[in-house]
Amino acid sequence: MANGITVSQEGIDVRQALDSQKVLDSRWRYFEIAFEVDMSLPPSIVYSSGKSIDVFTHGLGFLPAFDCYDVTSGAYIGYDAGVGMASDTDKIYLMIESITNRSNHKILLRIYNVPITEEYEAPIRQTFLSKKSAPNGIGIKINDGSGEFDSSDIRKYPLTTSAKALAIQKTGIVVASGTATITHGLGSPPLFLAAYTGPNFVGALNLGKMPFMARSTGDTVTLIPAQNTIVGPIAYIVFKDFGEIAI
Amino acid sequence: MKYGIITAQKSVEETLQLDTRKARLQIDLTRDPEHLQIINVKATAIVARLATWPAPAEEVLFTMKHNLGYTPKVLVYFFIPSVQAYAVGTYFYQYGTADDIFTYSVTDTSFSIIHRLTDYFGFFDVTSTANTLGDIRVKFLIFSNPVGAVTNDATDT
Repeated sequence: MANGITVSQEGIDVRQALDSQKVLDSRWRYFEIAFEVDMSLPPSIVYSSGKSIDVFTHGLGFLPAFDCYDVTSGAYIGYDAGVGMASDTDKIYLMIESITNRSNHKILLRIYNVPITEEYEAPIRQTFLSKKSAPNGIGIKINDGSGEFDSSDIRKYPLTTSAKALAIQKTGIVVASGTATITHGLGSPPLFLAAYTGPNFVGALNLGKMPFMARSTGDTVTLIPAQNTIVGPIAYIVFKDFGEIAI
Repeated sequence: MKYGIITAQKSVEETLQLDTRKARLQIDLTRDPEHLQIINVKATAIVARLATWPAPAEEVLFTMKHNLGYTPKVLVYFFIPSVQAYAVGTYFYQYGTADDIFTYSVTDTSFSIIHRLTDYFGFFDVTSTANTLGDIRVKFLIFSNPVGAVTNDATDT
């Protein structure tokens, strides 16, 4: 690497580390949280076809990857068939559902610093496993500003070599008509996330019940329906981490 | 915050790569039992009984203590050999009049993989055939970030 910083997980030589074993490499993006918002939805949400309510203004200027956990009902709010949680380049909004009344529901929004619809692809360096990472207590940690370097709670450290962070291989949009294929070239089936998108919005990632499954090869991920037919534009994230290897 | 690291792409001012003023989703690699694992699970022919309808039939295929002290956010991938595909969060083996699913449940103490059969009509006993799937591979990531609730059941809504 000509310029930049690269740091591997503890217990593995940075020169042997897989791309997914890096806690920092300044050539690629990570699944960083831009906003974490604990809030309540308005007290009187009345269903009206095609109507939405504004939930939170993020002002990022791009369509971000995000998820929304409904604490009151105990499940993620996704986006499918025109209902659920969505984002434009400025704010998160809720397309009101006829089935679930979410009045006063407590939610936790996590909005990631990831422009999920943007065509982005990280360089690939090392994708063949050479060694399992084994924490040995020797590494670095960057504190969150609280000054507590003795805490065992890794939430205190936005960057630490004793934790895995999800590095992003690729983001963008594919258009599905029954299936949709993403080429990634990692050489092994990767982890992925996906959400419906449109010209001016992107839906919430549903980590509890994603509407897409994926057939995966070493070079492609093909999205297929988990239940209902999948049609239209889908925004995706392909991670550098693999589905077949726990490292 | 006065100190930290910020990296940006070459010639790009946006800090889309790393900014240690912001949190990340992270998996603690020092935990025992491990918070990032691949396991194999196998379902049995559970029966949703008419006598207990509408309660779903359920079996716990895997469980472990996570020792975080709060209910964490998790990411779970089910690899189904028969269809050679990954499902995220929940795998719908059968759905319609009865849902036969593989999913997860997390509390502030434990993480579990669940096989659940829900009969929506209750006219007769329903038996799962998910035992014919054989081994199902599960990769799970338990983040050291709270989900925001005491219990995180992937399939409530």
